Amino acid sequence: MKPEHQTRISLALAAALLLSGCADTSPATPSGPTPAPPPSPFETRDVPVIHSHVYQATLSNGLVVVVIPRPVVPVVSFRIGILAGSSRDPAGKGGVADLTASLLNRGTSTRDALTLFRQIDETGGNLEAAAGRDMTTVSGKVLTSDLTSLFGIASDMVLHPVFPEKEFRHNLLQARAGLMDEKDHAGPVARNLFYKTLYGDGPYGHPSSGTLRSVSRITLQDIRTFYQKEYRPDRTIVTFAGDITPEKALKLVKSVFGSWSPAATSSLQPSPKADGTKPLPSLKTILVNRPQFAQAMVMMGTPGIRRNDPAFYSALVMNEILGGTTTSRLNHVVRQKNGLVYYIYSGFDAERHAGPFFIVFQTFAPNTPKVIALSQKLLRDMKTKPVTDKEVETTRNNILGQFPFRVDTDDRIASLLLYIEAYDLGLGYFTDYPERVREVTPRSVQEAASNLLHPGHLVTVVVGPIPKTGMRPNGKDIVVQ
Amino acid sequence: MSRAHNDHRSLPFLVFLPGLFFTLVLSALLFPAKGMASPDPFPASGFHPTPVIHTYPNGLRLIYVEDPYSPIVTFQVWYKVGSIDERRGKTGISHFLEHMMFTGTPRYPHGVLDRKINAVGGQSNAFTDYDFTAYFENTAPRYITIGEKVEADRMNNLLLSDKQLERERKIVLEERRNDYDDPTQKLVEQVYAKAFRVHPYHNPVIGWEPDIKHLSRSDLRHYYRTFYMPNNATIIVVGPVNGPELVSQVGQTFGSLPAGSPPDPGIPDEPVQKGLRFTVVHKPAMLPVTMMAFHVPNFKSPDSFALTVLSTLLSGGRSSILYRTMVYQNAVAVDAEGDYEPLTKGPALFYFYAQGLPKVKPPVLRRKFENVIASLQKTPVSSAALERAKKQVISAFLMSQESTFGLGMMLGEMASIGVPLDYLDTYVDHIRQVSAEDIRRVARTYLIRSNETIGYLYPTGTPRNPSFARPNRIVR
Repeated sequence: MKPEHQTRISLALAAALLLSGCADTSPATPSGPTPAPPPSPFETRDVPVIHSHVYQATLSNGLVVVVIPRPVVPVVSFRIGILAGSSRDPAGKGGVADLTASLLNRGTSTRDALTLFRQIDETGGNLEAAAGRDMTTVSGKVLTSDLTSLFGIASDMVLHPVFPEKEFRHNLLQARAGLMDEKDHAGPVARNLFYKTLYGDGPYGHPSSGTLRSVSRITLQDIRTFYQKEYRPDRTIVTFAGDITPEKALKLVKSVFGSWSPAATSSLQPSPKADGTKPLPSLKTILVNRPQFAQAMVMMGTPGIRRNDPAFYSALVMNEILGGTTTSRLNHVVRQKNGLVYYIYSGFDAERHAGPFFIVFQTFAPNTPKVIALSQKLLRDMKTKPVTDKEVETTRNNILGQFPFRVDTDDRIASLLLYIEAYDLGLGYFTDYPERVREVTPRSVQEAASNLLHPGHLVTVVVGPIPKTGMRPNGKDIVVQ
Repeated sequence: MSRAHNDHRSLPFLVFLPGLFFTLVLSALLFPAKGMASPDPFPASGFHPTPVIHTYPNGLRLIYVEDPYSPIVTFQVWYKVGSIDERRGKTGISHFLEHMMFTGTPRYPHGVLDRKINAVGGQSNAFTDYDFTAYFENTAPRYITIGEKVEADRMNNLLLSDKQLERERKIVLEERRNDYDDPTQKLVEQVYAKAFRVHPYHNPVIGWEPDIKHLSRSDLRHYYRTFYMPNNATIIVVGPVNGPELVSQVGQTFGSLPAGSPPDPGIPDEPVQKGLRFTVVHKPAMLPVTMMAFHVPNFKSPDSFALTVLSTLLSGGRSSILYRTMVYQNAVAVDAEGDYEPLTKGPALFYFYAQGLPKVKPPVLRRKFENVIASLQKTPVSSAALERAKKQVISAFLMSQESTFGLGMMLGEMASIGVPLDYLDTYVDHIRQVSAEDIRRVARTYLIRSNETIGYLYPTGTPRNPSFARPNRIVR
């Protein structure tokens, strides 16, 4: 039901969550001894929080396999992640990665679409393919007894898709309908305009779904070319979590992906050049009128950092203090004290490339200028006034206490393993992360705030009944889109 | 279209999954032995999620599952109160009170719970539904006492100050306006209101706006005293806990709370529908929507299993009837579903829902649904399709146990609605026994016009330009 816009709205949320990471190393003692890690071919590290280990192996064609066994119920979740996300869409053709992913289950060299549909459902499990910004992911969850069948179908989709013309037209039509529906929803409208204004032609400048305009330019040949170039074993990561041993997982992966070799003409384009040292944007507010809404949705922010930035952990703590939790300054002032919003939060959208630092909220239209002003003030205070030892300590504990929630279901673990691998966070992540968080000090938080927050350069997008907000274009830094 | 109003107090990352309704295995017997290498479904750990029930002298029930491998513990309190208990003119009071439950007691003033939970990186939230109101604290296992203490305290000592009340009223009204802005939400609300004329399912869980505006402190206090008491509550705990220790710990925290007089249900019956009902929404939207709702029995009827399999035949996966006939081949819709939620205290609905492609008229979607229904009533479904659907239902049942929080939600919902735990023991067998003839029979019995409510959403096109825009300027 209404699936598309739901997922898109939550992209920003997912990004905020990415920042609200990890770490608790001493939960209740497990009953029984911890099994010893097996010898090669795996590299292995401890995952104390779930009394398990993480295992990693690389096939000779470069494909990486990562496994966390968690034999609690007879279920396995897996992910096949290919570094072929929308950040690699051809210029002006936003949506190619997404459409390519949507066609993976629309026919392979040995199965037509209806056969795929039927065989997937016969396993009783779920299998979905979708493109995000950094990766195209095929996600499956199934009872252990049916894993081999479902994984076999998944690998067929990745290795032998045929992209039939008819299916391409059909999915294009569906994609366009989804994009039209988005216009009814403030979330995607605000988000897309915000990212476009900040990142333009950069890898994160356009939504993974593309836009009505960019999607209309896509041809079937674009899809086939994208697949040939971007789907390669040395850019593929396969992860498993649940009722499976590393040996069994590796054997399964080898049996279907072992002989996959990249296309001969693999002149892989470098990623579109991102961020770097571009000057900060100038202060700007963009008004988008949706007179049928009672509420205004607002996204405001500036360029942020990559997940791999050394300042990440200090930025994480800083953001939690500012707007990352229900007791954050933004929540305390805007929601608790003034009751002006149903939600407000801030985050760094930090993945393979730098996404923005943002504040997002929805409010009754006439309150919009007031909430914007309050947010700006809190942002300036964060940048200029020091944080206390106590605030930093409380926040570190909060972040450490959140860690178990990243690994409390097989699906979450399988996805997390994909992130760890794709963002080069290292197999030691499960013990490194808490260490890095514990190293954050009030001084490093202050540095992060001073370097990363730019209240004088905020890009603000307002979507809602603009006349009711009392905001007007001024011919300078407030414009109507 | 989740019926629950989740109060997003923490970051909104907890999504209520309606699909989790059938979610629990009590014993290895339930596990489909066919095709399994080992008869033990949990060979590696020897762990079987087994709910244990304990009832305290003050009527409070505790249901817990020891799961030594879970990285978190979920502590939940479920009250048997929801919008089903609301009276005319006071709709939305269950949800409003849920908000007020976060505004403090003398011992834990407003904001203290959030601070305590935040300090340990936990999650705390609440949700109100037609049949229940629930509160939960999810934390690393050693912090379980935070939830315990706060929940025991606010079961009996809520302050309900006027100042807090007015602030929360503003927040609830914001939440209500979010609904208004969503055209689909509006349609669903109208279909429910048409399908139920007398029964309180007529009202949206969040309530009607004029009622929300007029609820008073004394309304809320009275409601709180009527429904918030140990003998109207169930505590659910899932995680790496020690059962006997937990029983005594919860006894110490909650045992001294006084029992109250059990609330009088007094919920009116919905008279049998005697003819087609119809509602239309005209709203700015891009895509048309058709919804068709039929009255059907809830979990108490043996037909609920056939209806569950029927909904999976209709929209479980891409091989399902509606996906194939309306979304994939001869596409008229971006999404088409047949949904059924058997776990309700009052009467249930089976509904069809489709979001059409642009320019498809809602009656076209309806005709497509009617063709499917006519065919189900006439011809038995193939045994391959039936077996596939049953396998999907049973797999989902087993797979959803894997989440600690999800398992707790399931148990809490069952306890609040009054579903006996042996429902779970026999669930898989009941699903297995559904025959093609059962499917045809329930389609003939319930999916009939005199029992139907139709809702259409007609998009009124792109919104008009605002007054301040210059002529010819395109406004997004």
